[in-house]
Amino acid sequence: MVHLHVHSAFSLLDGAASPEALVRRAAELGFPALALTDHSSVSGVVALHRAALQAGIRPIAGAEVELLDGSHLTLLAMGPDGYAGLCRALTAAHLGSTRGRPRMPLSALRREEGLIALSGCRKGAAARALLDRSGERAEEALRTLRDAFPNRFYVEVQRGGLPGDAALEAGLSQLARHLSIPEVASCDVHHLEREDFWVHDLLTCVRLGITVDELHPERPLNGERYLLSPQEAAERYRDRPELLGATDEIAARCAPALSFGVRLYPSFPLPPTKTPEGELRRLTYEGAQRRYGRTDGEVGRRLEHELRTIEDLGFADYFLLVWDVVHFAQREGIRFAGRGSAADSAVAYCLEITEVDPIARRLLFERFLSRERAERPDIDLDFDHRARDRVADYLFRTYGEEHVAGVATYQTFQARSAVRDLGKALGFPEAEVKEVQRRLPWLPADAIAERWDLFPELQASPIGPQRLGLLLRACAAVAGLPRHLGTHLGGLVVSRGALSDIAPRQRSAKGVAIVPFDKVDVEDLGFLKFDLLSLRTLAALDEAYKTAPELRDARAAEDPLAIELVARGETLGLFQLESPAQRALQGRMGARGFEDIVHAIAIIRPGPIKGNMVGPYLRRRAGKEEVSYLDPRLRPILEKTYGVVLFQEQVIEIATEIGGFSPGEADQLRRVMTHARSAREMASIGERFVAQATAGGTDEAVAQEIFRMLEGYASYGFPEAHAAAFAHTALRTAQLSARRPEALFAALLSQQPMGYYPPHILVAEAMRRGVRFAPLDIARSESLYRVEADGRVRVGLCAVRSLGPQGEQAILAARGEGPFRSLADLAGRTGLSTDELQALVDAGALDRLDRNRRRLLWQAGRLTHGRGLFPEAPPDIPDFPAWQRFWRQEAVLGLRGPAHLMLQVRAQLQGKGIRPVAQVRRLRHRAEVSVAGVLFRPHRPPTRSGRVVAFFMLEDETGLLDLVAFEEVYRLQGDLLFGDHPPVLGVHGRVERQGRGVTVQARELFEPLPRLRVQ
Amino acid sequence: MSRLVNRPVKVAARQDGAPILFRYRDQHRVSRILEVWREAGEWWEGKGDRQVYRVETEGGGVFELLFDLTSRNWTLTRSYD
Repeated sequence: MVHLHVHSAFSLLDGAASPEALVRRAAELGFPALALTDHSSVSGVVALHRAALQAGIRPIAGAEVELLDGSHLTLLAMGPDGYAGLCRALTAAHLGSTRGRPRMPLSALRREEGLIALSGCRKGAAARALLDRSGERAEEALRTLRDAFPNRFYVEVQRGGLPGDAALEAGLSQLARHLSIPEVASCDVHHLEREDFWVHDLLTCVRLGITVDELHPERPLNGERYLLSPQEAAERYRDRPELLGATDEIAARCAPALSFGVRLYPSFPLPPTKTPEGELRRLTYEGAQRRYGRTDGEVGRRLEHELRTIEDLGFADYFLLVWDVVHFAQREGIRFAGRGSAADSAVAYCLEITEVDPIARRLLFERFLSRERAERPDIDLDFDHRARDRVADYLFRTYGEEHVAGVATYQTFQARSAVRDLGKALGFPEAEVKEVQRRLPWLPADAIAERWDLFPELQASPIGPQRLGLLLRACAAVAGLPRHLGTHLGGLVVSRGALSDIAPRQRSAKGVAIVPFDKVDVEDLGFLKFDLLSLRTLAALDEAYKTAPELRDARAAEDPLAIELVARGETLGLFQLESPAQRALQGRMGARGFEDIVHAIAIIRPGPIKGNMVGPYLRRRAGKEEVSYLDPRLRPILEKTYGVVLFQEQVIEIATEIGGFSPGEADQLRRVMTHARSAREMASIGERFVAQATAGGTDEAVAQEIFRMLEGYASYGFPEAHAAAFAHTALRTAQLSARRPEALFAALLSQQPMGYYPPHILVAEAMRRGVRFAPLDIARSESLYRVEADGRVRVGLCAVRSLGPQGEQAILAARGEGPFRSLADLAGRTGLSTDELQALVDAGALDRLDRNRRRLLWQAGRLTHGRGLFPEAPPDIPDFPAWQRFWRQEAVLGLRGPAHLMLQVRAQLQGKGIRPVAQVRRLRHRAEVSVAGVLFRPHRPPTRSGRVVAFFMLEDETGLLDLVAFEEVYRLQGDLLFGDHPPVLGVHGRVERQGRGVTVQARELFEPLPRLRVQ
Repeated sequence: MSRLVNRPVKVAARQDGAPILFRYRDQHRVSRILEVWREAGEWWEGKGDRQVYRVETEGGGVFELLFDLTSRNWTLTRSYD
């Protein structure tokens, strides 16, 4: 017997088991094959094939589809051709139907000869008709399907313990005999075991938007639709064993649909006289002349090595395609930057895909592409976010809609989403669910219960784990299952043949065509993925250079002013260098040049941090600790990073030099280390490393110590090439910040949301750096923040939250025809809505028309809501008091907020001996201090010891302060940071000065002001 | 037409679980099992599965009998006119 009608969790919010779990169970039960038939989806088939290959059973790809009349039909692919037919039919259904409700005409399936059809569940056309007591319609439906799938159609006999099963089976069987259609047993599997029924039922409730107490015809009645064992199936069909025999016959007609290792790479369009290899060679050497001024010696050797590898692995077309994309961007003036390990390639550098010279930096090409690994190269490109879709359009236009599509993401249940969805379905009050959800840190959904006691903010929750018992069990049960499909931010596949033969296309929420597979699955299918990412920093740079054109082509990496700014830790607003951890590092590190920035970007990563490498790195760099090597062969590899492992390339080099691995094998080791999921797996990798190292003459104890060093780092770090690529962009922002801060901050504020900090903090930092701002003004503000002739940054219309691009354009167009003389004139000529007009009033944009904002608001209501509702404003109506004007302004602009709050309470705080931030920053090392401010961005980065260290910031009217709370404080008072934090948080603590950095180490957190409680 | 009863009843059953005889006011002997199905209980309240039998009795009545697989108790849930 073989299960032929099986739903996995890719029947979203319905199936309760992953394809992998289904395959594991099927193999355990001794089934020779397993089909997967998710609802109008083949998202699970790659996982099915992967798992089946490993388990040694045969995968059968399929889907349960919906026909135009809403009836269900189970389809099984007899092999690759049938699968291609299924994909074509699903594409037609998805692209031709309302999104989320794909239906296909039967005619789309008639021509697909590689498909076997089963009559489906109770929603199948014949079953539905019989349940409606229409034997005639049932017969007609079966006859039509039989004729559409000659010798490939079966009637499904499901014995799911439902009322009416016996009568339905009798009716179907009678018709099947009458029409000479064979019958087959089917269990319509939705979960692994009978006991898992509740998960299936609960997911169904989530899908239907109901609670478990509510009745709904779509809810399953019982737990009989599980993966029956052969014995259970034999018992269920004991009176008709031939129905089980039919499952074997069908399975024998089906071959696996996918074969891993096929290549569906695109071909680059070239005239017949040219080969992709020849063309790549020509372009590379032309580029080498521009980049290096020569093509001989080391340059020539390196390029030859890379080109031969690229040619032998068959990736010349891929490089040409990427080259074509970046040259399109260059022609169109679209700012871009190559990132990732592609910067390890001199060919990519010569093709101007990347800006990092891998020869000068001695970067390993094998980290990017190696013969042993023979994996697809991964070139990630960042584009100005405003133009990224234009670049994608270029690919669609050049290669055709049939060959290009976006990549999906499987959005899986994590702690927060699971608590939200399942809590609601289980009938927990919404307020309780929100309260728990708000307090939850980022966790896998199955770790909530076990880690509850580790988080004080959860312990302080008004709802305890006992009350949540069932919810937490439910969260654990759905952990990691897909909840919905999303769209990958940048991933695109481009295929040689028609995409629909291997992957159905469907529309994303944004309307873009995507394939319903994630980035791993598309590669397993044989596609090459392109990452065209959006980066707002590139748009900000583009805007900033319009104000500061003299810096556009300046060599930022060598600008001493830029380096000095970073060394002072004044990195707020700088790409990759602005997080609190980076600012603290810069204050301690005192960067001296470009290489330091590369190191800094690489060191604030989980690998080096968990590997406890930050401290040794800084001490050794400052000469306070001796640089030592466990083996002299490590010196050339680790010398530039003071003996610590910072980069992925170093892991590879160590494995090569000490472990005797080839570069490709070494990268494999690095990857396995990344994905090792258990201590045993890691230990086994270690044994292999140590064995090979000792065989090569390394002392065993030393080899073990070296492996421990690599293990600490694993590979949660950057490749050096990637860090260097980011460092270039980082220093561009640093140069602008050092030389033309008004240009940088105006550009950053214009491209929100971006970066680590909200606008009001950027404004505060800009002002601290001497940038002056001019207020929003209907007569002068442009769409974006703009630097005016007097050097002031004029707030842009884009800052007004409720005013969209259309509103901005309406204002600018009308203003071009003449200044606005009154609110009525503005409203009449722009057609702005009441909300938009009121937002402009509160933002202060109309102060030049009337300084009394309250009177203007009154007029705005009168203009748009009618005079009857809003009588004319009394001429002597008083304006809002100053504090109210500020608050209203903050609400629409998002500027001035927290700092202003602190101004209001400063006198009270002073009375309690609480100092403002600016004063604290001037105190001596180890000074005891009390400070208060608005809490900003509390977070708990991973630490090697597992102990929690909480970092957070306080903001007041004088600036920002970094603080740290260690385990003891966090355990007692963490709720004030991550749970129910007060509007103004107070901290007693001690000033810590390291280098130029200032932090306060918290000893106690407190609420300095009585909290207003709304009853 | 049917009528909700929902009363615990004593039932004699076959080895495969099907009812033969039950007592509700009078004694009723099952002549035919018309339908059998299985229902999940309110699992969120800790309740288990139930097996439901729609039966015809020798007296010509039609009844629904529910067997709780966890508590192993019978309930007469419904009678049909």
